[in-house]
Amino acid sequence: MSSLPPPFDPSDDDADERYRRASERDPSRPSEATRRAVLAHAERLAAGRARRDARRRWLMALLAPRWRPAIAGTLAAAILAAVLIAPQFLAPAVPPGSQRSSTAAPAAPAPVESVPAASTAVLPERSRVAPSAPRAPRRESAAAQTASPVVAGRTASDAVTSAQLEQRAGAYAAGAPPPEERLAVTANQSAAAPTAMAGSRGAAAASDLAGGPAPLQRAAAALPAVAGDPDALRQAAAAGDLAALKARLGGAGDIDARDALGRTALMLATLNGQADAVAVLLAHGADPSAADAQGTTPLKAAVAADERRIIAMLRRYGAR
Amino acid sequence: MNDAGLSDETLMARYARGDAGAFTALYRRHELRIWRYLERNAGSRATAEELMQEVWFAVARDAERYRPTARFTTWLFTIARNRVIDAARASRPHLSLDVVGHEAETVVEPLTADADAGPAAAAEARDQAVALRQALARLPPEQRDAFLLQLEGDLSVEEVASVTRASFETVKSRLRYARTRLRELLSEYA
Repeated sequence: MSSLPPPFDPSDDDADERYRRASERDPSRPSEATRRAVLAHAERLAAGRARRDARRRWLMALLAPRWRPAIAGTLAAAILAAVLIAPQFLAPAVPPGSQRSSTAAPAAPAPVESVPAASTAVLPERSRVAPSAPRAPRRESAAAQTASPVVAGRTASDAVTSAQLEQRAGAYAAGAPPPEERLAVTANQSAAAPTAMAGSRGAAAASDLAGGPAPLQRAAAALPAVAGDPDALRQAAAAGDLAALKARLGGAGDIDARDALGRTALMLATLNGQADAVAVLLAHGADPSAADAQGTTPLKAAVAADERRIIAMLRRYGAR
Repeated sequence: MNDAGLSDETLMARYARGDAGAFTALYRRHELRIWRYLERNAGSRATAEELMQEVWFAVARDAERYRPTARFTTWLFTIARNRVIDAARASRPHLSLDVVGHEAETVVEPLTADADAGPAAAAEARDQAVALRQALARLPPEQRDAFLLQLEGDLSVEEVASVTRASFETVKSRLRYARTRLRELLSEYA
């Protein structure tokens, strides 16, 4: 090719025209699934924005100048009521020599004596809890981490492939419980699970699941084990379509299947800020540290996007 | 509400305030142009599908941050171009970005023919589409990129220069070379 561009040619428009003619006849179109995913995602974001704007408008209307006297009056009345009523609830203990004291039962202990009584009433309660559910140690030895105590809480249906066993071994070596075990804990919902999980991160993850938010528990418990059509799974995860995601997780397939760019469903859900989808995927054993082809992990992506809820969830699951 | 007469920028502002219909109108207006840009640059339908979602997800996500200091299409095609470059880096990190789209020479997928057209017309359309992709794949990537940005994005030379961060003269030169080569390659399908 010469170093100078070709001279101006009036037939340049002809080239454009040829391109346009050929282009017009190209029947290639994006798939209907892509179109639906995009529009559904946009609609969800729009709904969120509309709700937020409505709240903002309501607040602005509330703070409008014409309402300010009413708001100030209401607040003043509330404060006055609080000042008048609160002393009745905060009244000091009646002195022993008063009339009320004389009508009380003679055996009633003095205030000073009631303190140890209250303490003894509380202490046995604590001591009952302690032996039956000992708190898991913050740090376990390496041997304790490599031993898999959760096996005791698993069922025969938890058969795993050799690849999954290797993955689990790797996760234990790194100090994080493998996905299957988190799933087992979720499914069993047993009180013993937090103590059975070795490692501080495992214990944290288990206790989060056992005592965590109710929606996460319900989602995890209601769903069968892993996998489905990987493309549809990723699409549902990216769009945050929980119904489709749950349906896809019911089939047989790899929950960590990757797309052409090496991204898992969890990564796509993270990139699109779909915190609920991230929760469901993690509860189903998605690898929290699966990096894409560029080496970006879901945690890195979430930190970059400042998705705090997703960051917290990923860290609970031992993401790196 | 009829959104047909509204500008892209107005539709974006409406969508940023929560009007989902405005986004649908925007999507339908630009769907095909973005699709062709992505598919002809990426050279693979599967990659183009993923990039298509990423581009429009980004538009939806960043709608509130969009400021109409430039035309919407310039912003849209800048997003699309960045995604194409990211995809090239991710799929073939050991190669230069200059190879983007070259696989289209060999990966020309069978196209779904128009059901309404007759078999002969459908076959001709299919041949023409394949020839077009092959011709584009033979262009150097920076020429193909500039040409597609101008033809599909309807961008001016200045806008292409801004999107590609190249000088005005460089872009003009790339466009001239691309047109000369395409005219030769597409001549038999004129």
